[in-house]
Amino acid sequence: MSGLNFFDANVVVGRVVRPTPPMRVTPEDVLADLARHDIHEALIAHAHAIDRSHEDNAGILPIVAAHPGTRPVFTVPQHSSIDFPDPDAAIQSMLDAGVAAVRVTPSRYNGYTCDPWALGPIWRRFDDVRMPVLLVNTDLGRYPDQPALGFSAKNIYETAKTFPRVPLIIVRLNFSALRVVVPLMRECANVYAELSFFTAHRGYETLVREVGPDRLLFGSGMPWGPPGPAVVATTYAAISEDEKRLIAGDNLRRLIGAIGS
Amino acid sequence: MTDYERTTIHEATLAGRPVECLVIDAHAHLQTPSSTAAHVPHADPEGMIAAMDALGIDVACISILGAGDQNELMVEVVERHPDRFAGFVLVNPRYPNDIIEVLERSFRSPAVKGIGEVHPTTYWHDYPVLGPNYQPVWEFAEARNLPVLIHSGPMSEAQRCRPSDIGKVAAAHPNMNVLIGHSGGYDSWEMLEEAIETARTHDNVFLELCAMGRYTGIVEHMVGRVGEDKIVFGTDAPFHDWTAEIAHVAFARLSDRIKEKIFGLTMQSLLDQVKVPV
Repeated sequence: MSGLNFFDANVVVGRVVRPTPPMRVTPEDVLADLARHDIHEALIAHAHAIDRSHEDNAGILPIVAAHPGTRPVFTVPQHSSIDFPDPDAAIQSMLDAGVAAVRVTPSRYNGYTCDPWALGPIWRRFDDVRMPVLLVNTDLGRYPDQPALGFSAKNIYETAKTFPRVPLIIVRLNFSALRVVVPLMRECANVYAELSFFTAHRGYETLVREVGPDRLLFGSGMPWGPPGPAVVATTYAAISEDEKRLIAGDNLRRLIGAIGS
Repeated sequence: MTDYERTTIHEATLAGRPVECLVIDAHAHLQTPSSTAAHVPHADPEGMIAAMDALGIDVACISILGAGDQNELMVEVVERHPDRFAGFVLVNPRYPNDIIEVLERSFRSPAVKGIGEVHPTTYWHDYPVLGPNYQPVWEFAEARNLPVLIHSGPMSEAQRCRPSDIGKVAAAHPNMNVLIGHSGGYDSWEMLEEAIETARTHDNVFLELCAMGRYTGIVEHMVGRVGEDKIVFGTDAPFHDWTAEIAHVAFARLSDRIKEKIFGLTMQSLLDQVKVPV
């Protein structure tokens, strides 16, 4: 054992639309695979809420109730003005449910604009309560061969400046993004990076040196990606044990603890 | 729980200890931090060796990328660290008149062991793997039983380097050993299955792992389909870090005996087959 208490920021459970043949998706299987890598805490979202409708968010709650160490993530449409006509009620229901982060799912239809005015009034409530927002499939978090669907670096910059109390988490930061993400994180203190797919050579050491250890979050990317790469990248990084503990889980615990403060 | 749920290699890797068995990276590069594609930290040979030491990687097969006229930089590094790096020679089919000269000059060094990364993609040499300009390369490798690493993938590059086309090259040159880079499919399950079928039906075709392990359970799936003797460890370092691929093999639900083959024994057997022409 590494002695690190990992808290996984990026897990989805439930039947996904396009599984690979060996993929295991039930909550029991996913969480068992995490445990096999000594990961015992996780933010989890339900695949139905990601693939079909945010109305399926409630499906994650009984799963969380049955699995200690997990916390629920709700998905929110990329553009939510129509979907959440009463943002006060929506944010209160999230808080009542113990939601520890929201996950913004990009739209293949309207992804051409992610300007703050288009995102919806619930974002002001996210700002009020410091709700962590997981940004999926941003230009900094997609493989270079894949098409962009969601937030560009410019969108992230403008959103971070407009909602400065929202921890904006770039999910699956890509290895090729260093030249852009470093100045972005220096400019925007509320931008964080989830590292499940971050395979830059000695990338952890570089990010710690350039932006500090406080805004880097461990994640697995289950069930699409295995937990191992981020576990090994954290464990073997040539950084201090204190910095490893922050990345492994303490940074995420701090963000969750600040919700509502 | 199976016997392979948490093997000795699994536990050691979780604990952050170097992998103790022979580890040969079949797919690494010589780069600089100022790479045009992406910033590559600690890309110098000493920086690479430090990372290799931490993880337990014994040898990395390195090649340079680019126009094909900078192999001397690779040769200088492998001669300086012959116990840690094995040289692979980059050939550029866009300059067919100097290919043999490049190969002969590079192979004067005993630290040079193979050819690659052959890169037919539209974003590198943009020349199909079945094209005639590669023919002298295959003949050179055939005469020396060389391992040849050929890039394959993503799906958008299928017209340049699809696994079944690489299989045709291998079938015509049975004495060279072909490594299908990335196992053909780092964004495509169809390409992976084609690579598996190619390796399954050609004795001299092997699957190099890097970037494929991004799919959960992939290594176990590949071993189940193609067997334990046709898969070799590779990382694409320092373009990518070494850690991801170490994890994919170390944490696979496989016996340590199979992991040892993937990590190094199979690639060592390919390097042992290399012969120097009299």
